[in-house]
Amino acid sequence: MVLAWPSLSWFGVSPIGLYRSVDQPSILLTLVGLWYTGRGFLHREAGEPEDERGGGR
Amino acid sequence: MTINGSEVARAHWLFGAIFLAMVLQELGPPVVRAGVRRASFAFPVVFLLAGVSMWGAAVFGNTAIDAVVHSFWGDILIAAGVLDLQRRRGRLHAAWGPLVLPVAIGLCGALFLAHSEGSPAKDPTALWHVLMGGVLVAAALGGVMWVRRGSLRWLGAYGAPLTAFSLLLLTFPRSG
Repeated sequence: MVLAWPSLSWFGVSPIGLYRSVDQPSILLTLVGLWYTGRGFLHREAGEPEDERGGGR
Repeated sequence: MTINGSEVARAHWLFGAIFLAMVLQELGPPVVRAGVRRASFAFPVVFLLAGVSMWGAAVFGNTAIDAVVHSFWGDILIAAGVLDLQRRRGRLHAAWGPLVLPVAIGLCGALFLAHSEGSPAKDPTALWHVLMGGVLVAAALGGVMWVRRGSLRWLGAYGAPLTAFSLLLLTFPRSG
């Protein structure tokens, strides 16, 4: 968000502004990393072994 | 109306991030640790989203080959997304069901190779298309083997090229 702020303030707080603000490889990669890390923490706190429903294969 | 190289690159970056999240969700380390599969809907949902985007790209394609290849892509992604979604919902029990995604990924890789215009040695965009096509074909082979054999080694052979594909999308060069 800090990285995206200068761009966000330039394009405005709108869906297009948000898209323009985050659509940079470094920011996108950071967001994916944060999501994946947070997801891991949430699963650990909940004590869930990651989903075990048979599926993708 | 044409789309400039910067906008094309941005679209690839955004999709690369979504694709990477999908790969991590589906094939990431927790699967390796648990040694089991998950029935998330990430793959089919991303395929359906990508299919619709491809049809959009076909409409706004800058060249005829661009438009044709993107429309084929859209068809393959939508068909694969729908079939895989039905399989994960328990509505498709055919033995070939698990092969839908790897085969679709391989077909998309072949289209990437067909889509490559210009010389990979001179044009970074053409080089990226060849690389992306190559890793998708490799992922398809790994995916088929994973479906057939089910070992973690083949899961790696499936997941690693898909991760490489995401990173190639995320570093797609601006052109024009």
